[in-house]
Order: sequence, then C-alpha cells, then structure tokens
Amino acid sequence: MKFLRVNMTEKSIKAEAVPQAYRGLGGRGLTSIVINAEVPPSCDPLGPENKLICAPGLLSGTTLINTSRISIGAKSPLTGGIKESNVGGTISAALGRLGITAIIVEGKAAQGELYVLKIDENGEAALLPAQGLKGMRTYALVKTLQKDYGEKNGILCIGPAGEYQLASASIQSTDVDGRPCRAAGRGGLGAVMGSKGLKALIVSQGGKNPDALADPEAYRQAAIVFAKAVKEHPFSGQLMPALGTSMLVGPINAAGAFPSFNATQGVLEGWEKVSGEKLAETIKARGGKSGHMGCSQCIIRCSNEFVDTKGKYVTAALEYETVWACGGMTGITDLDAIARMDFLCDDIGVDTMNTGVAIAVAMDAGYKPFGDAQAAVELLEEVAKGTEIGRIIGNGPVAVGKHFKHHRVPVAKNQSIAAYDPRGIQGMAVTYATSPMGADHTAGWVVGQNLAAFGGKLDPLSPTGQVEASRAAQIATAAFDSTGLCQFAATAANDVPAAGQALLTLLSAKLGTALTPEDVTALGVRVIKAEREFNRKAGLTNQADRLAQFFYEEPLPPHGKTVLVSDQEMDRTFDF
Amino acid sequence: MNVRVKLFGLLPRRFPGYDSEKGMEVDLPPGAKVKDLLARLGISKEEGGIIAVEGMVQKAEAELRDGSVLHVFHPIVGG
Repeated sequence: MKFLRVNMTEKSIKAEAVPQAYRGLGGRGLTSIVINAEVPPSCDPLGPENKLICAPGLLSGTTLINTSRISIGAKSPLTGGIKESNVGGTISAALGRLGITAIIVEGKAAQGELYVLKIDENGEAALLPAQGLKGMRTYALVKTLQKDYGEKNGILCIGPAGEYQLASASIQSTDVDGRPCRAAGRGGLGAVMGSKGLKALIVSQGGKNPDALADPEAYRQAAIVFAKAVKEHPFSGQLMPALGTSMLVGPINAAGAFPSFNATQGVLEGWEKVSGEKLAETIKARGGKSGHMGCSQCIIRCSNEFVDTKGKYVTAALEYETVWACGGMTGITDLDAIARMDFLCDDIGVDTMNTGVAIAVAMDAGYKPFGDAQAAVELLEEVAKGTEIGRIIGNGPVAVGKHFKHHRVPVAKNQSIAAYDPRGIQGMAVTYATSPMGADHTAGWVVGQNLAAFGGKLDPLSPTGQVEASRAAQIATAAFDSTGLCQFAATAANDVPAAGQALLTLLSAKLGTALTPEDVTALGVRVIKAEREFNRKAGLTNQADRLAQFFYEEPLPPHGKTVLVSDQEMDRTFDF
Repeated sequence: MNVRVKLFGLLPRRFPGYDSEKGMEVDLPPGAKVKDLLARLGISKEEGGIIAVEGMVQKAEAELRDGSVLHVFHPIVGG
C-alpha cells in the first residue's frame, strides 16, 4: 500500500505509505477523494496545481477475474469539474501486483520538456527524458517503448492531441496484445497528462508484491463463485463474447433513442448496417476476431479485432459508443469508415465520443455534409496536425458550436452525451445532467430498466421515477468503480444473489472488515459527495446540472418528446 | 391474429430456417399480449427482455394487434 508522488516540476519521485484517511479506497473513490482534498478547485486544469491520479481498483492485482480497470482522475479541462475516467488493459493489474495504490503526478515540467515514467518489476520508478517521442502517435509510440523497455509492460500514453492539450484528449491504455486501443477517453485527461510533460507511464507486468489479503482463503473461494456466475450469466457468458457492446445498436434504435444526425433523429436509417450482428458477421467473414480478450484476467471477452477486406488489422474493440458517435451522429453507416475513425482517434489520442460528436456538430452547422466519411477522416487528420480547425474539433462539441455559432450542441457540463438520447430515455437525462462527471452514460446507466419488458415500471418517455432510478444507479456505480471490476461483470453480481454475496466477501476479505450492502452504498454516497463538493467550489453548482437547452425545446422523432424532467426534479437527485 | 416477429442477437439461432430479412410470422389468439408471444416462441424473459412494437418498446402486459411487427432483443446491460 503506497502512493508514488511524482513531481514534474522538481523531477522527483517519492514513495509514501497510504495515509490513514485513504485506507480502504481504490479506483474512483480514491482519485475523487484525494482530488477533493488536495487540488485547489479553482486551479487551472492545465497548470501545476492540478494533479493527475492513476489508481487501480481495490481488487486489481488480485487473482479475481475482470479486475483490470484503472481510474484516472484530475480536474477536467473539458468540464471544469472533477473527473474520473476509467479504462481497461493491463496496467491496473500490473500496478496492483506491485502494491502501488496510486500514482499522483504533480507540478508541471518546463514547456517543451517531455518525459516517460518507468516502473520496473521491483516497483522502482524513474522519470526519463523523452524528447525523441515528441509528437508521436500512440501506435508508433508503444512500439518504440516496447522495443526500448520490453514487451511485458502495461502502458498509459498520450498522442499528439494530449501534447496539444486539447479538451477531448484521451489517455490510451495498452491491451493484452500491447496495442494502445483502449481509452480513458472522457474529460480531456490526456491534456492534463500533456500539460505535465508526461508522454507515457510504463509499468512492468512482472510485479510479485501485491498487498496482502486479510483472508486469502475466503477470498479464493468467493473469487471462484463470482467467476462462475459471470461465466454462466447469459449476458456476460454468451452475448458479450458473441456480439460485443454493439449489440446495443438494435434495441436502442428500436426504442427510438439512438441520437442520429447530431441528435435530430432518434432512429438511424440503415442502423442494421452498423449493428452488433452486422459487425460480428463482417468480422467473421473477413477473418477478424470477436470474443477477443482485451484486458488482463478477462473472462467475458467483449472485445473484437476489426479487419479490412484483405484481413488486415484496422482497429481493436470497435465499441457501441464509437459506432454511435462516429457513425450515427455523423450519418455515416459504413463500418469500414467508422473503424478507420476509431483507429485514428486512438492513434491521435482523442475521445471517440466527444470527437465524433464534435464532427457531427460541424456537419450540422453546414461545414461538411452529413454522411461524408472522407471529410470526417480528414478532420481527424487535422486534429493530428494541430491546425486551427483541427484544434477546434479536438476541443470538442462546445468549441465547434461556438466557432460555427451553432446552437445544437448535445452536452452536459461541456461533455458530449453518449448513445442514448435523453429525450427517448428520460432517465438518461437525469444521469447526464446531474453526474459530477458531465454527460456520462457509465455514471448511472438506467437504460436496461427503462426498456425492459419484464419487472420494470419505468416508461422511458416519462419523467416519473427517473430521478430515483438514476440516483440509485449513480451511487452503486460510484462504489463499483472503486473496485477495479469491469461493469460488465456487475450484471452477475446484480442478478445472482450468490455472486452479489461473493463480491461483498471479496471486498471484506481484502480489507479485513465485514462489509454489508449498506457499507457499499455509503461508499458510493461518500464518493459522490466529495465530487459534488469539489464541483461546487470549482463553480459548478446545481445550475450546471442541466442539459443543453435544445434538449428541452426540440422534440426528437419518432416519439416527439423533449426532456421532461424539471430543474426541481434534477435538483432532487442528490438532495443528501 | 397474425404478427410478424424479427429476432436479434443470438435468438435467430434458436429457429432453424429463420429468415433475418423477413422475420417470421406467428399466429396468436385475439387479445394476446407480449408475454404470450414470447411463451409461444419458448423465449424466456432472461433471453428476450426488450420488445419493440412499431418502434415503441412495450411491457410484457401490452396487447398485440393483428399485423403488428415486433422486434425481440435480449435484455441489455452495460454502456
């Protein structure tokens, strides 16, 4: 249990025992509570006072399946508030096996200086000058780093967009095949990393010093029960490996809630061409991979490898949200073009969602026609070059809207919505508006319970009950995102009582305290309270818990609804 | 009455000869509900959790009409 404090101003690295106040925290709980305690809320997100915190989950680095999420936190240059973006890959487990609870990057290197932070299998850390890596795109960058430092490393890195400090810049994470194709995309954390002068974090996967478990035998047994439930659940055991996240394209279009043509349509005409079924069929016919393993210790295997007509690699893990942002929002229904855009976003280091939506806003403003895949690819190349229009696109939908004086900018707290229109699923209006993270579907996903035929009473087109549903989901997610577990493993924990109990046992056996479900809820509340406290001090009051105005004024076809959740209702979400 | 059913995800594999373009026709008694259709097809609620009728998602108790076109999807989780 240790923090590594890396000061980029002084080029110093200090290991310290985790202070008592932070014991028992991991992942998002840790990043958010430390940021609230240590980062001045009014600071410049790209200045020396901001801190970039990388924290594996509480259970990362143990033998439990699917515990490879790492939370990255800072004050966001996109939202102006607190941010946690989590990502899979290999680095979370690598840090966990080194007994590193968090890396806290502070200060700022002199302008133009660039470094990599290297941590070896003994946990020894070094800041190494890396001027030669300046401007490198992420795929070429990780190849160079693997050549220089070995292939058995997990890597977090930024591309040109991070170096330009653009507000949509991502931090890319290497998958089990060593490719930088997984992204902590949201909130511009790549810009924070770039502002500090840190190009990459390279962590040995050879660590053998994880934190001791309080009760190893109880942990071992519960881990078996949990893994069995995940494997046997139809969603995580069959559906996700077969179709991946793009299985959502069909149901969300059927519900009329797939924001298309910059959120002017709720159904994408021709969605069958970009559905999960079509994606899996295309990949199979070309010799690519579905059911691919992207993250350490994953048994769900929702990832895929998309290949071109000649069978050559294009991108890995073409995901639902990317198919939507780069496809539905732009009116592009060509999987090859969408896959190319996904690769470019990963390679340049930008969030596929904020960037796809930024391009959609530019198209809606008349700058390029909807459906013009060539134009979309060219705009991404402009981001890489750092041209004026490239920087506007790379700063996200709000920057594009301001530039073109276009009103229809689908955001909350400056961050683009995700692939569920808040007018078609009113519960997502609550999550987008009130999440301390800005519009973030993962912060409180209430889609399933709105659309389910069985066992739910929520009407997706009505505001009734949506605040309560979103509140419960946001609290549960804040706690879950502290564990390092993949959200797709949560399904089994929610649906199978023995798996839910096993998760409690796992947390208890790790920490040496008998936890109850109420303790887990209390953790979620504690995390959200810290995040909202930071945001209030940063100037984001309840008035910021609103969606872009057009969502309240422009009805979405086919249902013709606007957002119907009132401001007073929104403010009830976190009335604790 | 007669409805047309389109299946998604892994559901088509359950019905040999299923035509993914046209879907399949199912005869039901008048007044049949969404849940009755699923029972007729032998699709459990764990397998078929989202049902859309002419672009509107419906609950299990919703009544069907002759000539309706239904889309049947798996329950969804995630993000």
